[in-house]
Amino acid sequence: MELPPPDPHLTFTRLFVAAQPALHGFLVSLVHDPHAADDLLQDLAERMWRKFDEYDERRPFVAWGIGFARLLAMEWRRRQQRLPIPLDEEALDLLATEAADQAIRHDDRLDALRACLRHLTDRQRAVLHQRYQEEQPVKAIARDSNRTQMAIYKMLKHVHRALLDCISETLARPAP
Amino acid sequence: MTDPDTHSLDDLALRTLHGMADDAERAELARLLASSPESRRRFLDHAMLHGMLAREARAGAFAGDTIGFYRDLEDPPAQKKHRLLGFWLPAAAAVVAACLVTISLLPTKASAALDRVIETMSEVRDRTYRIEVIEPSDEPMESRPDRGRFPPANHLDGATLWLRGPCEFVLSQSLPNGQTRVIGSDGGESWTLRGGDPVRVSPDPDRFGRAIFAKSGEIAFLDLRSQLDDLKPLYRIEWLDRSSRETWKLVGSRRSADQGGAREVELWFDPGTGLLERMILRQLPRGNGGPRSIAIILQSTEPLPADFFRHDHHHEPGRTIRTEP
Repeated sequence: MELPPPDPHLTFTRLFVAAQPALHGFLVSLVHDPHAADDLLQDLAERMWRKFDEYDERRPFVAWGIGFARLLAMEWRRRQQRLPIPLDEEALDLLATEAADQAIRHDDRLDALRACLRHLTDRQRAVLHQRYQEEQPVKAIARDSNRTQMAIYKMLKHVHRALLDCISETLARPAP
Repeated sequence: MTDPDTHSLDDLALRTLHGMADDAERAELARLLASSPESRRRFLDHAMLHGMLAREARAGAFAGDTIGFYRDLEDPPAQKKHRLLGFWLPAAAAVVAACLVTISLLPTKASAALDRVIETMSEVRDRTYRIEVIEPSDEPMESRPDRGRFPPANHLDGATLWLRGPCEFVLSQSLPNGQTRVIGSDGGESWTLRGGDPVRVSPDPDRFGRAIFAKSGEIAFLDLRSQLDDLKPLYRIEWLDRSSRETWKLVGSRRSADQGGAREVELWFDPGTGLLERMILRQLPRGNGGPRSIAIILQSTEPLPADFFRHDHHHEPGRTIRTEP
């Protein structure tokens, strides 16, 4: 008995949900703002779905999505009156090419990050919670905790550096 | 890359990603990214980590009270609702793929939401708004010889405004003498008619609207698209309320008194479509002879007749037409 063809909606959704962290990472690398990347990710889903009948399933889905994401990020940058980083087109192309390479390996980095987050102290977690979950600017976190902006910034910087070191070490370690 | 270089790049990258960098730092970072592959790699490490931390945070990775965090997901406090929504959207999409289109319309940032409202306002479709004066002029109306007996900005309460896309409008106002004045533009020419008087037509599409929305600081709403565009550079845009599924609210506060215009602008819109449902202009400049605060309230999105924005739709055939040079 012949199996019915797979439902393209479900196939697309399954692939997109799996690729979403990598595509989000790629977008943040070019627009430098996770919220703008969230919005673009939604546009990206719509654009990729419209072209899904052209997708060659032998190709990695993330790599296919990066092509669309790159265009969307460039369009977004053209619409902004003030960009977080004023890059010219040539520099942006270089950054996009290298970001695409990193995005392909994103899942491994995310797994490593999750393992590394276990080493954070409660205080570091609290600051990350305020900064990323409550979306408070550094200034507001400093005000709420009766500390200076510099103190909060230094803590964030310390956490970022420690996490990057931990991710590198985890990825360099041979798999058990 | 030496250790001091890495420290310096880390500082530039993190200060930029956390919104703390000044123009000189952002320019220095741009220079480094353009010239050094090692700087690009290090910056990308930070940018990717920044994005991953934002997503992990939304999944509750840093919540001290994880039970409370997930309870909030089910019954979110007003301010948190849509921050948390980002985490659940992928799960919803996995269940109902068709929801992707709806998901794509939900902006999470105030400026992105404003972009969405502007984009929708640019679409060529018909909208009918009612104008309500919330706070009348606090100065006695003065008759000015250059503005006629019934200056348009003074008689806005209850007026109806029809819009089609960014360029076409019709405004109908009731005057104190019982007559109705209608001002309109089809994007090519503008026109005005009052009672049984001749119709005045101008090849300038803004000619008769200027009495309402002159650059000198009159009430700017006949061209809502431009008004919304002006909000982006001239106003500080923040969320006012996102607790309802049906209507989200933004508020814009004027950055400088020198720029003119309302001191505060409130925008209510449908988060699914970006359709502007209400615009409230508070503390309009004194000296215009008009009200201090008004609300423009959506009444309908029903399509209007094709010729609605032409003057002949609004008067009987044979009315005298006076065309201005």
